[in-house]
Amino acid sequence: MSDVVAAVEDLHVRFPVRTASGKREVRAVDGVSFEITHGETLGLVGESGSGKSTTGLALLRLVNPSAGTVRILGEDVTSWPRRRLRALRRQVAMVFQDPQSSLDPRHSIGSSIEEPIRVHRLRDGTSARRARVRELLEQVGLPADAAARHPHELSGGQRQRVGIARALAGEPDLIVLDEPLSSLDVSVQAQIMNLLRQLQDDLGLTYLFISHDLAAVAHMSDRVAVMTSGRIVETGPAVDIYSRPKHDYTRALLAAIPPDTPAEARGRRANTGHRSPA
Amino acid sequence: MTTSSTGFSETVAVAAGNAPAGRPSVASARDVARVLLRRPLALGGLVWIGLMVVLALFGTLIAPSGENDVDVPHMLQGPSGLHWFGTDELGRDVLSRVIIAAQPSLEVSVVSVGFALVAGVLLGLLAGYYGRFADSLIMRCMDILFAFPVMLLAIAIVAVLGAGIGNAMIAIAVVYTPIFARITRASVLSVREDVYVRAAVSIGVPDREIITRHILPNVAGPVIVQTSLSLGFAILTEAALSFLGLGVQPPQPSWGGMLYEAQGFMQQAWWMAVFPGLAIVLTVLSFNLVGDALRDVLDPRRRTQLEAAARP
Amino acid sequence: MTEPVFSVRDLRVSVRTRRGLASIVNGVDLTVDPGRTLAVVGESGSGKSMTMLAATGLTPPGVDVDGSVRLLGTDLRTMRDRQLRAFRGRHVGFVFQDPLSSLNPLMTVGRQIGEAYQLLQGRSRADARRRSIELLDQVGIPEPGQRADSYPHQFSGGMQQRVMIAMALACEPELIIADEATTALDVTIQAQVIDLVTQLQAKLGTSVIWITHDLSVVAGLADQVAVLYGGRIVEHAPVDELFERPVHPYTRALLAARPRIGDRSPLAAIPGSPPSPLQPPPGCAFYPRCSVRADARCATELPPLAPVGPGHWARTFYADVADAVAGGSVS
Repeated sequence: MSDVVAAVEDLHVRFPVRTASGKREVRAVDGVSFEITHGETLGLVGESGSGKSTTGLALLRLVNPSAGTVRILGEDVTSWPRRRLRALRRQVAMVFQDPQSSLDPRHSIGSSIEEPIRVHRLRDGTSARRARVRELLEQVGLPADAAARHPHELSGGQRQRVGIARALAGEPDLIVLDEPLSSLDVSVQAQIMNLLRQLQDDLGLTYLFISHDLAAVAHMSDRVAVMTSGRIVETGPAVDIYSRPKHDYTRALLAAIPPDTPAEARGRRANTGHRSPA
Repeated sequence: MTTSSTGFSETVAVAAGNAPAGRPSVASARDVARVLLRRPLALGGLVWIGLMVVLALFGTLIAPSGENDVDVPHMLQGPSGLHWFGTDELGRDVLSRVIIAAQPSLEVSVVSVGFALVAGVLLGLLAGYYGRFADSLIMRCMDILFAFPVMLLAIAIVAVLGAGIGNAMIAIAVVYTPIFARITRASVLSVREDVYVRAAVSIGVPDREIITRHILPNVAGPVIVQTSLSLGFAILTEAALSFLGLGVQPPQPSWGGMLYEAQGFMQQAWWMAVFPGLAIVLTVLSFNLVGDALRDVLDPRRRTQLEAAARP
Repeated sequence: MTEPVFSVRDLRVSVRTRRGLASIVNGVDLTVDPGRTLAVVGESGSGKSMTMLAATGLTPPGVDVDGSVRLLGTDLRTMRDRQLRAFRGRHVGFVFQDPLSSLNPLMTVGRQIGEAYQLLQGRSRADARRRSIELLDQVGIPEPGQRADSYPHQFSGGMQQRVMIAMALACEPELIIADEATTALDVTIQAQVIDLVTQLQAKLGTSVIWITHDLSVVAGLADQVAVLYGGRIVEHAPVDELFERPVHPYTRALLAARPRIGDRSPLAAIPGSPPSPLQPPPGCAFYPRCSVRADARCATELPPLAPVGPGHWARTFYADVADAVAGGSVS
């Protein structure tokens, strides 16, 4: 009996692309395998074009795998037909990068958070749903009166909290966070990271944390998978990846992390002649 | 990868009370009212349309004479104290006829554009949301309709179905459906890519609900604008059909029909043509002015242009 | 004591909006010395971008600007529009955040780079092309002769940003202003671009103003740092001094809130959000979010910018207390 929440095996996602020289295929995800166990955070780190976001989308079947399998709680969802996908999307929820564009500007906050509850019939009746929305708002640190407001009235950090509340509303088994910090101010990023960690502790959540920000991934993740050009080049406990990287790409990535202090910057320059590998 | 702050544009836009840069703001009814009030021409247009609606509803009560009452001693007389708009060749009061003719004109316009709206938006939603086969099929049909000049197509349809006010409505509805379909489809295509739609899909919201709750409200703007413009053009089309004897049939008065009857008397009785002609012109113009003003408020792209003008 | 390349005195920027007067910049003083890099650090609402745009005369209509700005000894604020444009084009190069929206998709890269050069220096097309290729080479674009005829969309993000830098350098400006120039780039590309700018600066002696929210970018390339909050400078120091002995609670909080690799304890997050330009708090702008609040005056009185160390200024009443509590840290 394993408590593996998600298992991906040899996942491939290919997109046909029409170019001047005829049809080509872009291999966004080119043979990716990993497992996420209950209660852990797997960090998926890579640069743009690495395929990390596409991998996250595949877990919810928002893009369709071209080959390989995706298992959620042991069930093979790779070829589930459209009508079964609704159930999958309760089990796996997503927090998007840009909190502003991921909320319908014409809907109130309460309405947006309520949507998963309504769609999956998790509460009976309007007042029960509203009560649940209030509960979720409190969990993410927003006041109850936020439910009546609209996205443009909130700050970026507050909107991302709404996005998180909405993800929690479906009571999912896995939450995929796709660059949840990139659109936020620096001082707010720390708040959201703390919130995510605290929710994980309180509610026993499981995360797939996708990001290009190495420091954020190091902070949030138990295990880390490093991705480039559609492939995972290294997986392991966060501590190991960051202190004893095995793969060249991982090393290059770590070396490119900006210095913490000016003294460190000077040190690097002295060591390598210039700051980073060309 | 995006950034945490867009700096200047975010600051000015937020300070100016708009949504942060990159996202068109959502218009409220208050915004619409404010824009209309600030433009005297659009306001004038709105007033005129209101007047026409009143005439359409209560024309027979307001008009001094019935539409076919004759005053033989005074036929073909110019505007006078007795007949403000003069009389026609049968001695009928032109003013009364113009007033009463407002009803069929507006009725045809509203009903036919109403049908075009419903049909066009539905087709546009299906084509835009489901794409591929549905899109090709629907839009090719729309393209075929687009290929014909409006008047030609309307005349052809009425010729097939037979003259009459009902068939005129059908013809105009068919002729104006494609533009609604095209506009809706274009909006749907852009809204469909918005992240909140993807978020709704990720939650598991069924397609039907995504279309009605998320896509439709966000494509309403351009559709409303097009509706007001089409209402104006439909009046023109109806007038043309009536002029040709294909729309409203005599003795029911219509502005187009009055123009037809005025043809033979242009030199002696200019008022027979000028007043119904003015009615047509002013009404079409009013719809256009209101439509333009609405466009500045409701069309999200126009709004972003206006907001972008506030950035360097 | 050399004349600074660029100096700003008491810059104020405000916008009249539907909801009232928004004071975006509230009295900013800055100087940049020849060949040095000044980093301007702030978040959204801090006024960092607006400061630069106002100083260089690039604000949109409807924005009120006050204060004095001197570039190479010349007062920019008294210049007529055409004069300003020519002067600015000749002496200041800009690098913005999103190269895709700053580059004309319909013009080849070579032509765009050469455009400013041709117009401002009055050179021929052939000269401009030669200069473009030379610049593309300088910014590290391989096969510059061929790539000069490519269009922006044919380059990767990092390459596009290099093209932007080439454009900024076209007229050999004395000053380059980069606004979040590396924010949208991958970490490895970011490192390369920062490297490039420092090398070019060393070679050409250009001064750089680097606007960013990212303190680690600052650590790598700044000589001087100015921290902006609520439209004012809250701390100003040489880069080493700022990182080793930060004084203002906001600066200290920013430094403390960064996640450190290897440390998974909860982050010292700053609660709340940056203030809105429409409702500036009375007293210190950071007070609502400050965990120190060392002095009774913080809530009601605006602290003046006061010296707290060698070349180091801070706008806080905490500085007085910090002296007394040696080595105390912001919790």
